[in-house]
Amino acid sequence: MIAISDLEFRFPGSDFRLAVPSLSITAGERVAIAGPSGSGKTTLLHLIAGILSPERGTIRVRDHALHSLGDAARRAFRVAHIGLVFQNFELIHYLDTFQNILLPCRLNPALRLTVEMERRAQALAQQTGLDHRLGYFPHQLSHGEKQRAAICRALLTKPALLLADEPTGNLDPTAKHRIVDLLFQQAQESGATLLTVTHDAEIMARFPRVLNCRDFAAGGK
Amino acid sequence: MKSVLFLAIRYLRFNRVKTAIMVFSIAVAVFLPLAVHLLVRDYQRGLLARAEATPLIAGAPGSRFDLVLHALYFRGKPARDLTMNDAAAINHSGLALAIPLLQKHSARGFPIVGTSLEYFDFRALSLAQGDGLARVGDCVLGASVAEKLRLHPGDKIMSDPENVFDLAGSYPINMHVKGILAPAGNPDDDAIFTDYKTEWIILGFMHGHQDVAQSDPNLLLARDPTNLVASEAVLPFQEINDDNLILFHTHGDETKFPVTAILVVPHDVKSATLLRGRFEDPKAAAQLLIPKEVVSETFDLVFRVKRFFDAQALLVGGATALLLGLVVLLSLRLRRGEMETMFKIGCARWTIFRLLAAEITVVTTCGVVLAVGLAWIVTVKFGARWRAHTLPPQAIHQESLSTPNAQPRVAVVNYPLSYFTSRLAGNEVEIIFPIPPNEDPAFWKPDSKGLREYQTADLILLNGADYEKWLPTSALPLSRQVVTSAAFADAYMTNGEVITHSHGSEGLHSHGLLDFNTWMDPTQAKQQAQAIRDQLIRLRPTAAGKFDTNLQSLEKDLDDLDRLLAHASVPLGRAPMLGSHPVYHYAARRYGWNLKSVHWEPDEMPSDADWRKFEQLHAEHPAKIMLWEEDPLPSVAARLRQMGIEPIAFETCASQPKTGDYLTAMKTNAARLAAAAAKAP
Repeated sequence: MIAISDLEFRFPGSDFRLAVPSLSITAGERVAIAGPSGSGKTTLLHLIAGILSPERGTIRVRDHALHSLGDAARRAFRVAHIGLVFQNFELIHYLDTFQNILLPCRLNPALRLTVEMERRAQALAQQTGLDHRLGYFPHQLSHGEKQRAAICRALLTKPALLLADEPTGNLDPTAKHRIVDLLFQQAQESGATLLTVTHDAEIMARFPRVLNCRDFAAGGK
Repeated sequence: MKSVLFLAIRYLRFNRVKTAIMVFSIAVAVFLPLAVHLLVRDYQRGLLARAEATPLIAGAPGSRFDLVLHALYFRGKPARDLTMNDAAAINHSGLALAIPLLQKHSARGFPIVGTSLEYFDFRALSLAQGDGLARVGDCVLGASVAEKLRLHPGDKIMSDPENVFDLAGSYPINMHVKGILAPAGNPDDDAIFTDYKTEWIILGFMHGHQDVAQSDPNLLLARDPTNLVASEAVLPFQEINDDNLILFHTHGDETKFPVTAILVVPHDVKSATLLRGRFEDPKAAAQLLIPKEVVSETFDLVFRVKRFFDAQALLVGGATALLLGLVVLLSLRLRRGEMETMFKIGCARWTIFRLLAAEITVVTTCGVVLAVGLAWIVTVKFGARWRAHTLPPQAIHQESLSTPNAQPRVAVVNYPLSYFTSRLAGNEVEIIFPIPPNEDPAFWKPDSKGLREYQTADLILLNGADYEKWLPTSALPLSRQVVTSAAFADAYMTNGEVITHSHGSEGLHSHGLLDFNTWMDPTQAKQQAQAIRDQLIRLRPTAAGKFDTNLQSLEKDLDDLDRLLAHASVPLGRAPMLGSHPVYHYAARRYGWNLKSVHWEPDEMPSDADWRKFEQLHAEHPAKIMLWEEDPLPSVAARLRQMGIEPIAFETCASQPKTGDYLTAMKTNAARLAAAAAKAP
């Protein structure tokens, strides 16, 4: 699913350097990416998602050489294969829950907003218990509801790779586990590979594989 | 694009207050210059249309702008007035139609516009309700005035006092609303129209009051045969009605009474040029303007000011655009996270740009649409809705004809004029003489039907010499009135006897100072016939030859009559003669009669006092012949014969004679006079 080799990345004007000599993740695997703040967890996630492009090395995701793709191609790849769940959910504040779930279809010409897509959004909302909150705006939702809405948005396009950036941050323990359960459940149902950034030991303990980003980072951020 | 627009609208809808403020800001920035532009354009079109529809305006020398604003839009007043004589001079020039305007007062805030009936034809104004002007004291209201004041035909409206600190300055009069004009979409909608003489009444040039000779003797301070001096306690009537209409009169020469402006409608381009040439003289007492030029000049000034406002609007618009740009930039900063999220989930940066552009476009479009909508409302509500409808002079003339090829209708005021017109025109014109045969035309009180006959005639032949007592209080088209005796107006004779007296069935009335029986002198009758011939040719140029031939025939008959009367008068020499009424002055002057008159009616027995005065007069003026308009009562005739006076019926022919016509009646008069003269020792 994911094969990284001799990857190096540096933010312009920064001493921080992420170097991943080799990394391989198989399809359907559930992987937690751990590490202290500034160790490059989110950066690695963004490199795998094609949001960032490496300075050198290779990233292959589902046999696509992301490192050699241009911005538009990486974006197209991202739309087609990846679902992203952000740390602060990053729902669009002026759209209700239903429209937030449908947002990828509205923003990407490659994805047509069809009736089928709307049904899928409703189905996802039902699965995550959001079906009664579809007409609500983000500021009217609880933390957990927002997180569930963000997961629904990520799953709308049936991605092969689900990337979650600290999806349990700022949540109480019960809520954390409920979110992880949900991610596991959805990943399993859709057969997606799951990569989750976290620094929460309890959450890490639930993943079969944990990568520590401290091993990849070099220099200070 | 659909999704981008959807998201943009969702964003704007969510941020309602911010969106509303931005839309409002854009709307204000666009609305102000747009509304000013539209209003100015609208007013320019309206003002210019009315100016273009008015060929020329005459007024007293002074501000050209004041004159044009006054004459076209009833705003302001020129510093000085013209006189009615100026309007008459233009009409008599044969070059143009002169429509007088006199606007010095208002009623409940709306201008009272005194004018002649031609104004309504010229401006193509039609009545929506009621009737047109019939006499002084009547008014017709513009559509807006009627609507705002909720007045209808039959209501009354009082003119505003001219000066609240000078209650004696001019007396308000209560005008009768006779009709409501159909909406014209121009300043005529906001005016109250009366005959110009009604404005003279408000100004005090014409008034009516109780008859001081017959009412409270305390009101009469002095009296002599030709004049009455009344107390200031005599109050003028404030309303004109059937009872007091006859008591309205002018003091002074009407031709010198004021008009504030004259609309001048030349018959053609050449006439306009000739007319303008006459007013080019720097010493001319009036100025003649082309209103379009003056209004255009005014607009040049307005546009200079407008350019300043345009520049200001541009600056304000620029500042607003910068502020809105700043708001958008700040908004972008605040929405950076949102944009990043969109990018991360696969949105192209170009799509994000389109989303922002769509938001700005929607806001700008809403602002502009709102501004245009507001500007439209403002323009509709406050803009000039002026249309200018006018008719050329020829059309004004044709308006009165039932059909363009119909016989011209010529209205006359007495029988002699009817006879002359009939002799001259034959069947070329339709002669209208609406005064009943049993009424003395000189003292006729017109009813609305009779007046309408005169108002709709193509030519109104007046006798002149104050003959038409009803004329000063009636509304008639000025340009169609022709005074047939004007050629010898300087030879009018005064009767100079009694001012107020009883006159049989007509009741109390006043004689003017002039003897109006001008046709009693056949040489004057000839001049009147010539004046009629001239007008008939103007009316029916194609029949000029026929009119000339007929005039020659009539002149020959009148010359014969003149010889007969002269021959009959020879035996009389300077022998004293008496007249029962002062109606023979012109004949007396022509034939050298030594005539004195009393005021006796043929069908009344004079009182003892009258007889005593008569005997005294006879002692001083021992006449053997007394002329009567018709045979006196037998008892009166017998008493006269006892005094050695032979009464002779000498008809004036003001009404149609019982037998024959003017010529035969006058010849009979001559024969009777000759017979009496032969008998007289």
